Amino acid sequence: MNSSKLSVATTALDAGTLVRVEGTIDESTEIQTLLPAGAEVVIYDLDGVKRITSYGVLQWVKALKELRARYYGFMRCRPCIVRQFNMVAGFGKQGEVLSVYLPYFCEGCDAEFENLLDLRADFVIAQTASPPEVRCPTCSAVAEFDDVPKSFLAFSSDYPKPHPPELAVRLISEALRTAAPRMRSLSPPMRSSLPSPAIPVPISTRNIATFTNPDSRSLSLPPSATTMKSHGGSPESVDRLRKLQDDLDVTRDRLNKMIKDRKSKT
Amino acid sequence: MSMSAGRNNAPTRPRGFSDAAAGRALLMERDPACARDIARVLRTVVGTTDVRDNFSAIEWQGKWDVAVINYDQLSQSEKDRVFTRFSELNASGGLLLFAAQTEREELVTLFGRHKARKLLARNGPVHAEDLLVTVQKTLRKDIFGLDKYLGWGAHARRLSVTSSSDKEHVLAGCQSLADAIGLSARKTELLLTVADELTTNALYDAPVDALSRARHAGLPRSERVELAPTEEIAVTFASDGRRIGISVEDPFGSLRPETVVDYLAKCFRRGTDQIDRKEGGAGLGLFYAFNSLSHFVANIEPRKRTELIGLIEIAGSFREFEQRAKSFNVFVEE
Repeated sequence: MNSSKLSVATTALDAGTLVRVEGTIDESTEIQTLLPAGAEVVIYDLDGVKRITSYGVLQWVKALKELRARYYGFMRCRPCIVRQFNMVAGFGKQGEVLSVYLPYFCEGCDAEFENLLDLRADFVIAQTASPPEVRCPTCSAVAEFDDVPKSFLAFSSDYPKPHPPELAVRLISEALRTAAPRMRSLSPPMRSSLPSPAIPVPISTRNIATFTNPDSRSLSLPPSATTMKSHGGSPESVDRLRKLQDDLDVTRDRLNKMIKDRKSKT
Repeated sequence: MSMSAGRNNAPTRPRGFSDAAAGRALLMERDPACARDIARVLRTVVGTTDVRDNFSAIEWQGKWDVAVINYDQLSQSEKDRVFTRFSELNASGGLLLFAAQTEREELVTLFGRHKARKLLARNGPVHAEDLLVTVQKTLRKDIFGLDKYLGWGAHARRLSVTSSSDKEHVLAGCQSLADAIGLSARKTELLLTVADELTTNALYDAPVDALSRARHAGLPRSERVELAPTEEIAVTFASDGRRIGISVEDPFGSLRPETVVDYLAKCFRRGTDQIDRKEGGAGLGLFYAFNSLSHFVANIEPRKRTELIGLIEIAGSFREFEQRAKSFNVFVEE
């Protein structure tokens, strides 16, 4: 019944591990699933986290306390995670906040979407609490930053500009490369000095958010390096998302073709 | 200023006019237009309403059943004096503070030092219905029910919870209502957080034995708990299009008003004790609920029942939701 049970997938790369977390972090979260054994560098990809409860916070903090990595960081933090960094002292312990999603709202379309902010490159945006102007992917009107900038980005005073080591950078690239099927850019990417452009992600499809990262193509991992520790049958849901994405691509191509045909006729 | 200190503004009522309005209210408001609006509401439910625009002109010894004070207009020393002079009224739940701005530091002081029990958010003009409900509940001691906060006709859905595994049904029900009314994704997430925290609180923190000792508080929340059929928790959720609300009522009445404000103060302080080290929960549940809501209400009938109500304003963007002040009320029915 509960479709948002937590699933944790790990990908090992040399002495580092990428930990992908999806679903709700709550009382059913087992600390050990968040702790990759023996990893010196750990990157938590929190793109798929939907919600976290107060007991989930307790589990999370306990897990980080037990983590023996020499470096760890958090990437693609959803607003629900950013809220924790702001509300709970020590939520990230000694870890670095690498990237967060900025929430936007288009009044005309009555739609929410999110844009990724890479804090390695654009930490100043967080520091000065000045989210960039972004256009709605649907109507292209300027969207409103859908939170109070000063409070949403307040975590930047506790978590300074990230400086991940080389192995962490490779894990980040791996996370972006292997993120669920890529969506096409629906609007110009936000102003950013990101090495990989951030693409607006509508909330309804946020779990299949994608990014392009040319560097990551040089990485190749054996399929066995990716393991899935599932609490709720996540591989199936990933497959379903992939299928959904494929269907969306086909529909979009058809629409584009129809528009093109109509234009050529007129 | 046109209002005179000490003026009795009670309207003259015709002979034979049946009027249940009773009690005496003090209103401290410096803006004449606002004072007029608030007093108009108060006079519909309170026998006598005294309006003051000058803090020093308040007769502290006066016998007030309820004091409505614009907290934003007070200087720091006045803020402290309100709680010193009205300590009894605050303890009995009769001190009601209006506030448009409630910064974290201010909340630490309000909950930690002053044990404030009633804050009413003032986002623009005073919300007459909220004021009316709060004052009526304070005076009449008829405190329970989500329906008091929603427009008449709102269809409530009710679920009975006797096991920790029932929480999934509560979350599914909330999700379904949120989807039906088109609640935004981020506000839906907040609603689910509130439903989760309040239900967990009712299952693990509320149950006590005959000697008032906690039965499940020390258990990890991953450990399943079952309540007897006579101990069922009633979860109600509803929306009137303006707000979406959830009520979680347990039959134990073990929550103490001081516990609520102390936990909130502790969490807002963000000290090293923010997360509980003791066995059991994180001690963050009420704080999470408060932060996720527009209006948080605790109704307590000691040793009998506790009802926690959470309300979220539906209209407006998430940014507006975050910018607005929050209401917080604790009512105790002795």
